Amino acid sequence: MAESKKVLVAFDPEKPDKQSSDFLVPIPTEDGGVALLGSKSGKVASYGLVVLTGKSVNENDLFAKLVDTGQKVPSVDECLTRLIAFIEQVKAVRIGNIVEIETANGELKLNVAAKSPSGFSKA
Amino acid sequence: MQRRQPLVLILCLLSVVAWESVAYGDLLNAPNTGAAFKSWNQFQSGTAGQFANRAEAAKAWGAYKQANGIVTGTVRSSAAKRNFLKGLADDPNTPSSMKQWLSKGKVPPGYDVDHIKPLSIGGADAASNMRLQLRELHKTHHKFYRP
Repeated sequence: MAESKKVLVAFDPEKPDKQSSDFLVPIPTEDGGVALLGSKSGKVASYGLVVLTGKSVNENDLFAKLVDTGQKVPSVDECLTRLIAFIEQVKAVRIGNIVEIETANGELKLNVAAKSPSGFSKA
Repeated sequence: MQRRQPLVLILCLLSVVAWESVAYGDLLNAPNTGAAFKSWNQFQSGTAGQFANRAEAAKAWGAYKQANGIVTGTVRSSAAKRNFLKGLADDPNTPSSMKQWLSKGKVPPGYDVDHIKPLSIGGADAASNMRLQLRELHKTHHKFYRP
């Protein structure tokens, strides 16, 4: 079971100072890629901000949030595998970083777009 | 003109305070993230069409239960119930007509032992979570309250 105290929340590049509590979970897209879905808003976010939570989050927690959004899950095992890979990637990035998601050779990857929200607005 | 300056300053301060409260309000007013479904039946009806088949839905329910700390299939302890009933027998407020059953750890006729917080949503199977309730009332209670 993959666990991390770091999670991604939605980041709006137009409002970099706004604090969001919309946890992001990866979902497959029609073109075979992966997008970040806000678990509260149900909207796809382009960027995520890495934040620290008080409690460790595992793949089941993210899966439960995904189910609550009403998103279709064709294969539960595949979805859990994707969430485990996502948590492992989130562990590797630093708190405060702005990241975007992509798939490379079928593997999920988080790319750091900026080291901090203020850095993103300057870029 | 000079008199207007303090007014402008106060307005600026008020707008900053208002903006801060809006920014942090998002987090403070975040909705309760408790589980939307608390039983397999609720889960099945609430997620209709989300999973490919029933087997997938069952797998998903397993993960969902674990994430939300939902306990199902709890075993009721007859010893805990007996202790609760014997405890009632010692209570001076208990009607003396009931004591002949309660002292033996049995439920008086026409009554049921109700779990105040249902076991299905994590209530404890302990005397502290039990109460004696009229059978008819107990039936009516769970006719409308089915967690």
